[in-house]
Amino acid sequence: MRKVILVCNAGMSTGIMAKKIEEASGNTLEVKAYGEAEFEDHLDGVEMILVGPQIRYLVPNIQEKVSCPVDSIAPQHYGVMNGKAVYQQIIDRIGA
Amino acid sequence: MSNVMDTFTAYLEKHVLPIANKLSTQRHLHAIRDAFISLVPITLFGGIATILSSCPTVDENSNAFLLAWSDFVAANSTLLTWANTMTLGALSVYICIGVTYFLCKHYKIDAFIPVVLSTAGFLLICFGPVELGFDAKTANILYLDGKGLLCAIFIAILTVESYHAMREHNVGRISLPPSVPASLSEAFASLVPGIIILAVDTAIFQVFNLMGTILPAFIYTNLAPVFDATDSLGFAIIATALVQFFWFFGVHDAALSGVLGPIRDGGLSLNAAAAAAGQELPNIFTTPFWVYFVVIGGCGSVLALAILLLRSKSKQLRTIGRVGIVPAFFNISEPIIFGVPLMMNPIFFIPFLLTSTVNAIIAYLCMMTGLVAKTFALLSWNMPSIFGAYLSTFDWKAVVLVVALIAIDALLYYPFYKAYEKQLVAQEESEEADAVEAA
Repeated sequence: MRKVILVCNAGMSTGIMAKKIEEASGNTLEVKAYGEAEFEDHLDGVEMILVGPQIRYLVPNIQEKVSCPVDSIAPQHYGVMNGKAVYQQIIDRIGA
Repeated sequence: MSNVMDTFTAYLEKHVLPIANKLSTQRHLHAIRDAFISLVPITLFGGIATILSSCPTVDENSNAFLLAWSDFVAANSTLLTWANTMTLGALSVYICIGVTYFLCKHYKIDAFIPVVLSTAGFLLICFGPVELGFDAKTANILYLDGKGLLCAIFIAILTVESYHAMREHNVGRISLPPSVPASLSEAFASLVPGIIILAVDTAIFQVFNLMGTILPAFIYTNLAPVFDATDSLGFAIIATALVQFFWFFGVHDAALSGVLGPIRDGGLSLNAAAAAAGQELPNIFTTPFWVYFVVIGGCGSVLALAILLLRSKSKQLRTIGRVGIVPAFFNISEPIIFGVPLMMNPIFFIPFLLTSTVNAIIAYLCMMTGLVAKTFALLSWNMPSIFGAYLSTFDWKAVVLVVALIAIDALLYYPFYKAYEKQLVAQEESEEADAVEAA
């Protein structure tokens, strides 16, 4: 399974999102949510990082630390927890 | 009009994001914040111990449960107080360790030796020796709680910064032949920096010892006006409005919690210690005050709005209400903030800033006048306000207050929500009409 991680302040609200994305991917993706303080310990084999919109200002700082693509989740998808749209965003970036 | 507002908010966003970035990536503030959010087991355990020791007053008519509880407290008061004093009541020790650890993580240096050094520094500087005889050693541990926080943070930063600088510049690095194992030469490399840091700590102790005090006591007495100022109505209003302002741009208040964390948790630890000692609680602006009374439903106080959304005439808003109500109940407001959206939505600018600020003012005044008891325990910021309000104060009036605040928030949101709903309903109707025509 391909690995994607979500990063927000405490990994709390992205936790809800992670499940939705996994469902939308038909379990082809393994999506985990982490707090900003800990995500660096979980980078093994990660193909993409998605950042919660509430800390979108950290995207450049996170990108500096990792080699995989980093994007922020669009607020409107985040609000309704639209796993499908974010899944689409992921495969647009790293391929299906 | 809305165009002007859009340009205005877009302009502000351009300036708010870099500020948020600066504040939240500043390495010391960042380490302080991470230390505070990582100490959940400590604050929770201390909170439970305080709650257990806070049995409501009983008389002969009380029920069997309360009587049994009160007997338990009477028989185990030392145990319960000790359990609190050494966890939440010793917050500064753990913050010192936490800030050291996270600052080392920032510098990507191994944290073990720096943690040992700053703990030693804390013991040297923040404990007050009373008697140091051979078989009786007594020290005062008055400044392990919130009163020692500034000192703890200072020691942690001083230790890591100087340790890091000395290692970078190879201060006191003893060159050993290549045949010596790497781990051994590492141990030697930290020898001189470690001794220098401990010597500085000892010198700091001695300076204040000669003055007949210790550093945290000195700071606490001399900065008393500042500490008082952070527990005032004015400060509560400014802090709340500022946090809400960041959130209006959909920016997490993490950027501010490096500063607010020590203030709120420090106040909590003092209140917990006072509660355990059966004294009057000194602080109002604490972490539980913030999470249970000010931001009800998460930042933006969105629980009230989520309830309104459930019965919205707009399909979109109804959907968001359904998605967002459960997280909001557990103080997670992101779905509502990003879904409605409240973020950068000019219609909601006023109520978004107003609701939490009004909550802060009303709750502050209620606690100041003694109408509602002050907070002394934090269980988890995710605990729904209604339960959290009771368990953090042991006052049923706190629950009434939270319910009243939710109603007030709903009233404040209502006119703006209705205006926005009208827009969306009109939009949805015209979209439907288009769809029918196209068919």
